[in-house]
Amino acid sequence: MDFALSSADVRFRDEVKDFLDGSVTPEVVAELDSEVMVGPHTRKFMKLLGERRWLAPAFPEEFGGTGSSRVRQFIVQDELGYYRALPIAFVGVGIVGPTLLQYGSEEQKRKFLPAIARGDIEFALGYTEPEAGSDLTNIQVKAVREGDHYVVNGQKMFNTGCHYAEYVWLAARTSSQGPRSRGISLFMVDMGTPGITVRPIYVMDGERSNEVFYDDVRVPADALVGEENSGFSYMLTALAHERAFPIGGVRRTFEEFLDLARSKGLGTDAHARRIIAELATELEALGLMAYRAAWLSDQHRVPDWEAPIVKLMLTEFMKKFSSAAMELLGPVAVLEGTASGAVLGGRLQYLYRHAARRTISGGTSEVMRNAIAARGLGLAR
Amino acid sequence: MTSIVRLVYPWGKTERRFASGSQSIAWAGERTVGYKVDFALSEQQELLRHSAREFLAVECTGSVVRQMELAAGHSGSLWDKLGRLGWIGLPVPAEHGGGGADFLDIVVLLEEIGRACGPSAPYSTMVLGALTLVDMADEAQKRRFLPAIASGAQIWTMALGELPDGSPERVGMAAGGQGHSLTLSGTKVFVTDAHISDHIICVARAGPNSDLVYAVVPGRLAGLRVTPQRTMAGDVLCQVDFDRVAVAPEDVLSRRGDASQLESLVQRAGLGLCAQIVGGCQRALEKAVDYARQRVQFGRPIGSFQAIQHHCANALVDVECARFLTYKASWMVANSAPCSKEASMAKGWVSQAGVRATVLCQQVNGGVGLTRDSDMQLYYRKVRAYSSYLGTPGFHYDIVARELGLEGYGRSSGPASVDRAA
Repeated sequence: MDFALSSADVRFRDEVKDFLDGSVTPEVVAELDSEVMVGPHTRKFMKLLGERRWLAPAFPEEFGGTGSSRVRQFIVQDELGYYRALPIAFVGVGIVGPTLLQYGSEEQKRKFLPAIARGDIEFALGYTEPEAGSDLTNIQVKAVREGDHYVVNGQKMFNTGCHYAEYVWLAARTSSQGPRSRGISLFMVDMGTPGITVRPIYVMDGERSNEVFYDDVRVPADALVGEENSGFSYMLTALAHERAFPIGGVRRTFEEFLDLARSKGLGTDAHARRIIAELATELEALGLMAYRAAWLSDQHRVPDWEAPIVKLMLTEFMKKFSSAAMELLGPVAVLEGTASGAVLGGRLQYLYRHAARRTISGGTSEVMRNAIAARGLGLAR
Repeated sequence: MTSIVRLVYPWGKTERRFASGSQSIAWAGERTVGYKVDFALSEQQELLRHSAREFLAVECTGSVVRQMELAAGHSGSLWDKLGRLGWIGLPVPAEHGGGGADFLDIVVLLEEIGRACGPSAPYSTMVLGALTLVDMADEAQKRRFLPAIASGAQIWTMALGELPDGSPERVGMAAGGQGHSLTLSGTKVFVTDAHISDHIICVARAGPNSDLVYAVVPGRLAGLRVTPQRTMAGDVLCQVDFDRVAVAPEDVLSRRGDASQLESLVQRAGLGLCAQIVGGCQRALEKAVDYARQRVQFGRPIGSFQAIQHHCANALVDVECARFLTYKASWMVANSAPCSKEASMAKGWVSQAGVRATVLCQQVNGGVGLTRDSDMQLYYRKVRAYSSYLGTPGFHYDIVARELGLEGYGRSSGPASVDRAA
């Protein structure tokens, strides 16, 4: 048992922190916080990370990574979160990369992995539909084989990132025979392909998601990932790894809140003290769970219930923490960041609004508990 | 001997800390490349866990636990067997006949004892007794006291808490006496296993600076009145009244302590309780899941209903967090790193998580889980009781708040400091 990072990992982390200190400019943060999300400033920043091979350190060297551990990749993402720059590259590095490495063709690996690792391209997730939220097997966007293309038709919903990503990681139905989960395929679709229409959906935390319409979109057959109709199983494996969320962002906000609490003398109130100490402890426990999930990946064990624990705890903690902190600070905490007198740049009220979304997307808390019960305890449906 | 421990955590700032060398590990300088985050126990620890689990599954069954509840929380024969296996002697250094194990090893064993809903005497002897001697006794005292613990021949405990609430930081008992002899008068409460202990380490104040002293008192002595009190968990806490009990100089542990040293001792002992809580909750959850899979209502196993699944999932989250908070703090203790924040985080959280988890598991077990024949209710009661010992969550979270720099409070029962002695 060892809870300390190796010296090498520590040096690496310090290097990453030093770099992020200088390169995550206010313009980058502002862009990421706006509906633009990944814009020109962020792209430039991503490429700087890519040059250092820090976007996807766990990719093999030949594909732009350093072949390093998932723990090291976790360190980078954790620090990116701490500097509020995490949304970048998450899908490409966390989902597309591992899936291609395991199931993709050599050509696909060569074409996409280095580009992801360099920060040249962004991927958006194309899973959710109006009728396929928690029930991803209910995907209805169709992909019909016609010669050396697939023709895609249908509508996707809440596909965040489609307005800036070069590619969408699209889940579409290629067969209606047999069980619904067995007829889904994954494609890497160029967002510039004719027939794709993106319409914004504005979410209460101020961020933007999208409706995406596919009208006779012709996708080359070599955009298919792995085998036809095996997409759902790939999605499950990828989700298991993806859910080992880094906690840097919420850790940063908590530290800032703690500084504020100290300066406001909240420690003199026993009730406040208790609440803050409990939150700090939950954050500590959450951090341990997050590292444990990353460590398991390095042991070549899919953290199929351990990662859902992280996702569940992290997102519920966001709600609990932001709400409790706002309660302790009083009405000043409800002011938006641009209002005069706002505390922490309005970060707590933003987090509270954002948290409502985080307990839903990426698998609702209820689905997470189902997964934990089923995979961690063998309690089947 | 002090050595500098550069302990680096996966997040947060790197920190330099001073650690006093313990008898087991001396640190100097940075950890070398090759160590890395590792959430697995060592092979030796896994072996210990496995042997303890197998042994206790046979020797500490539900029916043995029920018998102990009727026999003041003790089984002489179980104790003897544990002693013969050398497990009680694990924390005793090898040169005194023990296993020379580190704190994390002991936590692994205690987790298994908790899993079996086992008795408290091993914990009292190993953690309250042996580890205190290792820290506070001089060589002569160690030679006198430790071998009998190592061989399993003696049960030890510590008398710390006082009225009104047994809070572990408020030591008011003032030892009288001349020179280096002491006289103890007063009352200690909530002392585990005092009624069966061969020796009791009594914590009192002595000397011009009201230092904390640790006085070894034989368990059966004129002037000592031990009143056993049954708890909800079938174990026994004792009120111990001292009536001018004389303690010879050689029986006063040579190292005197201050408030922060007492706090560390309490926190470490708290981790020993955490380990047992974690083990108990793990077993309770396994039993709840087994039941949920078998019990059929409405034409299907109740484990296929979401409400039941979510109860179990929530309990698993609590157990996992409790486990690793305990392991991390225990690992820090084993590496002689100051860990006041982590140790109190653990005891505070594990106490609450343990109660949450066992409440859910008990609920899942339905009506049949309520009967005296059910093992579930053993864990429900045991975990609730242990959560209250050696500092309530309120006590520990106050320490966490202090460690987080939330200063400026004036609570009536703050963490101990020398000038708050009286």
